[in-house]
Amino acid sequence: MDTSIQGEEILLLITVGILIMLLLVFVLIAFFLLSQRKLQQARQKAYAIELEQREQRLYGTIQIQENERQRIAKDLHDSIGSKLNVLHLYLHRLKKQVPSTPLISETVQDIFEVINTTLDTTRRISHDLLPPTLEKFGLKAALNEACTQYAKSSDTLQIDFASPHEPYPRHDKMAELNLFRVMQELFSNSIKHGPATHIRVEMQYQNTKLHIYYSDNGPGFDPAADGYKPGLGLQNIESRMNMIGAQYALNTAPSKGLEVQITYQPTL
Amino acid sequence: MQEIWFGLSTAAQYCAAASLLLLLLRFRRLSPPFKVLIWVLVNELITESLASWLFNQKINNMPLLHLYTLVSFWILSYFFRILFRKKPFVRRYFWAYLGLITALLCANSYWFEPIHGFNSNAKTLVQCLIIGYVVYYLFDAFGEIDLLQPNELAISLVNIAILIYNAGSLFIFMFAKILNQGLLSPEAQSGLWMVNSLLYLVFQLLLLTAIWIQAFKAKKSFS
Repeated sequence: MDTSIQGEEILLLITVGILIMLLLVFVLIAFFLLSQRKLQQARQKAYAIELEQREQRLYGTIQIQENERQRIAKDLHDSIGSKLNVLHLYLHRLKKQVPSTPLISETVQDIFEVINTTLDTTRRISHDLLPPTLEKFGLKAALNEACTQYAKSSDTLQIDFASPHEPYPRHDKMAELNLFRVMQELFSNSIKHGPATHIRVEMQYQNTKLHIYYSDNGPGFDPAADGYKPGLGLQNIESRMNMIGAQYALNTAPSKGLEVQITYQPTL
Repeated sequence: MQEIWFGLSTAAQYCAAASLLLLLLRFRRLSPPFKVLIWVLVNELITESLASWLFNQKINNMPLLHLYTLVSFWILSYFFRILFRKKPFVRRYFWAYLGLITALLCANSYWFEPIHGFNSNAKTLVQCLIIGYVVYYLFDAFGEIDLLQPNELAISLVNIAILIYNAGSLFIFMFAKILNQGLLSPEAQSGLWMVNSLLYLVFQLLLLTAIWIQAFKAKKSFS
């Protein structure tokens, strides 16, 4: 009888001990997991805020960059460009007034050449900073012109531009400028990192949406690779796309080239 | 009830064997703590097989339990030494601590609980120490680890598995010597050992899951 009672007490003690220990373990694990979840949520929130702030800073930088580009382009065109034209005019006048000797003629001719080269350079820089075609004729014309210019810059590069549907409505200036800058970035990446030998650009306007397809036959890359971080150029593209509310899909793999699809829905 | 107990034990052994196989197949991808788990599982499987063989030969297999307690203490302590390697006190006192506990366990087996009987004191001490390691790990890891990362999830799962088994079976091993004195009915005894087997199966299943995550989802890097 005593042995049986003692046995029951031991069994009870062990059972209660097991239950208490397991309860404590589960409380500890639950506390650990719940705290982890809360911590995770707090981290995600902080990360989202940081991301938004970074995006805002990038928007600000892009905006400042564009304003500065416009200012420099305007200054180049209005101040330096016009003054060089005046210089050109004065030199013409001087050439008529001064008696011509071989030395003077040669020097004047040299000065003309320098002025013309400087004028061309000024115009080119000014156009690069703010393409007048974009302002006057819109994205399609500017892209067409850019394709021709980039193709001319290399003997081995072929660029096809296709834009089957006409006419194109003009979008707001900021959207057109950002889309154009994105395309410039893509051209520049294909030429710099490739080098690609064939680029294709296609522009379509369907159901009030603008679609731009860009592809090259460059070496491509693996965006899912360990340690891959998008470069400043790609970050810039993404920010510009976000700024105007455009969608952007990038498809690439090592030795498979690059494909980019941009969809822009203008706000009415 | 004994059938269930044996069934659970066998299932746990299969799980342990699968875990070991997985660890060996994916050895190159393993982080250092998981490489130590190979020794944990080898120790478990060898001890279990030898114990069964001795039992079938009607030879007392209790000395194996003494040896198993000591070896598992060494391996698990080394496992946690890797996890706590950044703690200066672990780096400084680990070997002295290991030596001290080893001396205590040997003294216990020599003077207090001879090797032909159950070593409840030693088992209880080792289990308490291991529970202490895990609790320290969980509190230390609080706010530091991200369970969405496969590496950290796997190592946390291993810790949880160790904690559940050792905490759950602590009272069973603590009173194992008394249980052997025949104070409990055979059914009650089988029931308790069945609970132990169930906890051991849970331990092995969690370990297998952790090893699976480490082998196929996690990166090799370990910080």
